[in-house]
Amino acid sequence: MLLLRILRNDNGGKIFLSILLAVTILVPLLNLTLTADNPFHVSSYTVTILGKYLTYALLAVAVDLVWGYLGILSLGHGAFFALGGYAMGMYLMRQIGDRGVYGDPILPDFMVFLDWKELPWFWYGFDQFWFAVIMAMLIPGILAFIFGWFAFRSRVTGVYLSIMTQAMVYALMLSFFRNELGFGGNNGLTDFKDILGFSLQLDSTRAGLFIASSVALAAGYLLSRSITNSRLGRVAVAIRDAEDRVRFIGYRVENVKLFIFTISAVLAGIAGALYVPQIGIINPGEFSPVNSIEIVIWVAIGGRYTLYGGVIGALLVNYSKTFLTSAMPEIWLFALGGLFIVVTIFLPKGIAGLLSKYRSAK
Amino acid sequence: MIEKIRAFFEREAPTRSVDLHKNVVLYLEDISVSFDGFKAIDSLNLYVMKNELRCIIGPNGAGKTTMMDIITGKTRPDSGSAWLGQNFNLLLHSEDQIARAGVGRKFQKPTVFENLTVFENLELAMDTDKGVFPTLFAQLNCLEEESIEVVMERINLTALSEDFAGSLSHGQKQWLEIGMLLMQNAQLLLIDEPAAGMTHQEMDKTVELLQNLKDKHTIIVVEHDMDFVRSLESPITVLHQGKVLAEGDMNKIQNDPNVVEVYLGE
Repeated sequence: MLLLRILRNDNGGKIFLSILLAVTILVPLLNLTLTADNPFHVSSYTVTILGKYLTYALLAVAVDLVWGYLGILSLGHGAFFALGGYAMGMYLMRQIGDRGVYGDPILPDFMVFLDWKELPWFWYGFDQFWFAVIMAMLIPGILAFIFGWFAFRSRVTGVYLSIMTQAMVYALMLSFFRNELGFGGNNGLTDFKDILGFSLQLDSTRAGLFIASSVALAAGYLLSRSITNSRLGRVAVAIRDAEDRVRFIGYRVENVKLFIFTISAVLAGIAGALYVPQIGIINPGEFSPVNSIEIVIWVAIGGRYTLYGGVIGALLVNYSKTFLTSAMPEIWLFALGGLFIVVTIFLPKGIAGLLSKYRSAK
Repeated sequence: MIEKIRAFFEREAPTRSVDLHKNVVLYLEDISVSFDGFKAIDSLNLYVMKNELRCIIGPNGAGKTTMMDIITGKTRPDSGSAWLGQNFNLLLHSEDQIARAGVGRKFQKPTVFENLTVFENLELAMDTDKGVFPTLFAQLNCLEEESIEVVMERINLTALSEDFAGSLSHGQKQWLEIGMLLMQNAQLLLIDEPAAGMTHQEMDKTVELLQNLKDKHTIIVVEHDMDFVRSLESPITVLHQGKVLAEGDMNKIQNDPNVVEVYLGE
């Protein structure tokens, strides 16, 4: 009942969640129950790739929430994603225990290599899964809150705000590259063994992570949709279109922005936390400013101001990327740039806009 | 800092503590403001009584819009004082606080929320708790729905309730903005050029609307169209170079030699 109320007037969302449900049941089933020679068998590689796409899709929903509905073009959401990823990576590092190359029961390999004697204080607690999960949400949330507190209160908007978000993600990248920061420097965190006692190499663990990503995507979508359906969601659209006017009818614009921006960062953090165990590595490259721009391109291509458009864009672009970077690696960036240009010129509302135009024409 | 964080979680209820027992809604005293050396407002004095409909006219650059900006908190003056009623210092509050204290503003260029429906535009303006969390969990009750319908009736947009505000005609947008001021339940309405771009029929309706509002609200109208100002039959203040040049009814204004020289005579 609650589900139907959230999805009222959202046919795209109903279709998307139905497909997601079917995929979530079918993919692990076809992977785990069928043998490899069966034509319907889904390989473990595919399960992991799809799981990765789902975390990207959640990231795209988070970006659409702030860009499509609130008008904040964030070019720094990769930072929240990577911080969530690092929080999960720290837990996975501590799970390795004495199975590392140097066999130290407490210290991760890179710390032994750097000749550190003790675990830094900020690594405490990360041997607990629940603690890592909370941190994966809390750290991006706090960063977004502090960033937004200063930016929105100073009424920085538009392109200036976008540049500030780029600067934020770039600064984080540079500091995470430093070994002294205590997060593995250049190499990041990797060589994970297991999560909650389940080996990351097992097909069933991979299927479990796939299902978890799917559930997180659905929950993130529904949360975002219930915000956009609320009166606060309408205030957000009003801020996007005429910020000053909203102030003159009595809303505190900076608080509305701060709230939605923080929620969005938390969603991005969750996506990052699910991404890392499936990929098996997190390094400062995730903070690269280009990554953050790419997320915005997914949303633009899929169609912003729809939420599910971001999902379409994330899946389409990343599928093409996986396909093209192995088939014709040299043309990938040209293809991405070309796709972006075609969409901006011919499909200003993205693929989701095209779909809804087709539906209303029928 | 902690103070500010607490304020974030505080309710942003409408402030209804403006003291009007002396029947004066707005005091502007000795207000001056200059931009890059240009004196936009030069020791301006203006008092507006409760339930008054005041017209403000003046040539371009006379300081009309700047005056509105000062009253609504968008621009801070270099000197002078501005009070709403006896106890609300306009110079110490932000735009949204001033709005919640009961000052509503309609812009020169109609700014409605184009991607929201007429109904939703009015809903957002409604006089209620405007904090983040109350707004997130807000549900429309019967009384509120009814108050929106009453306003839609008044501004002749009932039939278009579900239409996007962006699809309205220019005149309808102007009315919708006035409707939003009514939803805000503002004590003081600042209305910038309500007749701009309106047909004669629409203008007559607007005059009627403003005349009706006078019973419950105090209204300041800034307008260029002299026919429109005449038909409002209200006291007029003429601004010139940031100062009050003349005050009085239409007859007095028209016969004032200073006014004729700088404005009407052109």
